[in-house]
Amino acid sequence: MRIKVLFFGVLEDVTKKKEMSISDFSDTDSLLKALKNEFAELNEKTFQIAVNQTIINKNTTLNNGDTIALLPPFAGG
Amino acid sequence: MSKKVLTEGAIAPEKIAKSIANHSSKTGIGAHNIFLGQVRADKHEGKQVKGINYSAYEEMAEKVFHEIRESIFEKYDISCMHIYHSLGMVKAGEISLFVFVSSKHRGVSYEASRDVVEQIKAKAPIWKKEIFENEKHQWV
Repeated sequence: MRIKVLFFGVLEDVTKKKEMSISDFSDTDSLLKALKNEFAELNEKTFQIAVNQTIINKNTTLNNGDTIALLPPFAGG
Repeated sequence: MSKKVLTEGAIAPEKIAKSIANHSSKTGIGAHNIFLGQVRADKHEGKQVKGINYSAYEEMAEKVFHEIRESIFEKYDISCMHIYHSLGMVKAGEISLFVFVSSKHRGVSYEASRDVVEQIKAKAPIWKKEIFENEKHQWV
């Protein structure tokens, strides 16, 4: 299984990367826990999660080829 | 699918003028409402902002812009609308957002234009990085 994780805005500075590839997580909660473990500063940040460009509000099962994005508060305009 | 909203760099005043001119053949229109977002040279702790670097989750942003567009046409009796939003570096004083709503009468054009801008602010996955004169930055 291959999952792409994207980081935007201030989260790029936190993780020092724009994207990474992962394979061992079955849902968004377990992925998030691992990311917060690897990048401790994520614990202090506010962000939403999008799975395949749709924002989710609860734990979501991951499938091969999914793209997960961590989205800090929007600031367009 | 409508054309792309995100455009590299500042939005040139000439583009806005040309957009207005392009509507001269649509004589059913009686009101144009234009909203322009301009980059401010804010000061934070004595440091002046020289520009904003815009970034976006582009694929999702274009999808969101499309949904906003659909919702506006559903809600208001407007003739046409155009949205352009900058990506990348835009200097203080330059234009980063151009919303253009046209309708038969003025009332609905004001309402729709405001609604578009508020929806962009709330829903479009776009981020601002303020760049200071000393080249340091701060995410907004």
